[in-house]
Amino acid sequence: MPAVTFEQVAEHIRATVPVRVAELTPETTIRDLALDSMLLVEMVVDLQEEFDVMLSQAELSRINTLGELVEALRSQ
Amino acid sequence: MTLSENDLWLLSFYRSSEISAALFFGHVSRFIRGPLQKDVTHHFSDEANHSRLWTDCITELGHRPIKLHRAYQDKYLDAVGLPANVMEVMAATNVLEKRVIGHYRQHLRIPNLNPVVKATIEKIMLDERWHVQYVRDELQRLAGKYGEEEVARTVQRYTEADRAIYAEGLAEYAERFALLPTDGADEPADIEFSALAAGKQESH
Ligand SMILES: [Fe+2]
Ligand SMILES: [Fe+2]
Repeated sequence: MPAVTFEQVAEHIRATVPVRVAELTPETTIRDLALDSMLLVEMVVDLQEEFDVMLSQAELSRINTLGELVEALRSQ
Repeated sequence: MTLSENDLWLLSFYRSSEISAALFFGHVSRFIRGPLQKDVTHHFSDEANHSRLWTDCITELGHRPIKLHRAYQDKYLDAVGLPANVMEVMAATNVLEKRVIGHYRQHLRIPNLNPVVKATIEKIMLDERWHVQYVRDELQRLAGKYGEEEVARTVQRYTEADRAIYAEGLAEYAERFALLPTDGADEPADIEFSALAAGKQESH
């Protein structure tokens, strides 16, 4: 499977939360994107399902920014 | 037959918990892939229907549901952290659904239960049993991907949190729950993987 790109992740996030792709940068804080915790769960699990990746709670707790999330999705 | 202030609070609490369950499963319905989409979307519509059944029940008894701010699920997620992946979502659901069944079953044991309330719980229980069943089957399947041990550990973590939060809730709302029998509200664990069983034996 080819490596996950920032653009692919940004496109998927746009499908879950109301944000423009142009506004997303590797420095964007993930918590700021989701208005509530349920939306946050949807966003993070949706990405894992899309890219066939499994992230644990411990791994997620270390991720703050979009750049770090893309890195985690890529590392598997 | 009318409702006491406590009864109205309790039924409104059920309604609001069912709404939270529906909202959560709305999100799950959006991210789940493959054949499970059908069951999860069905589940989402069941929970929404349960909140409707409670609304109908309260209205039929001549009242309006009270707006409550925080549902059981919110406290629960605060305590155990957000489910990180599909398996954790299913594990949390397994534990919560068993709690719901156990609690509704206790409610059915109240002497001289209002027949409208009784009929509502009985209708809801039919769906809740199916929820526990398909989620348990899915967890068994996910054990192939996430590992039996990891699934068993996660279910255990949520079960412990659930017991603590439920006990806390019973204490906090002691007056509201005063009529409910206090024994037997915990449903037995239904995920008994060999890894967990082996771990248990070792510690003895
Ligand atoms: Fe329900
Ligand atoms: Fe349910």
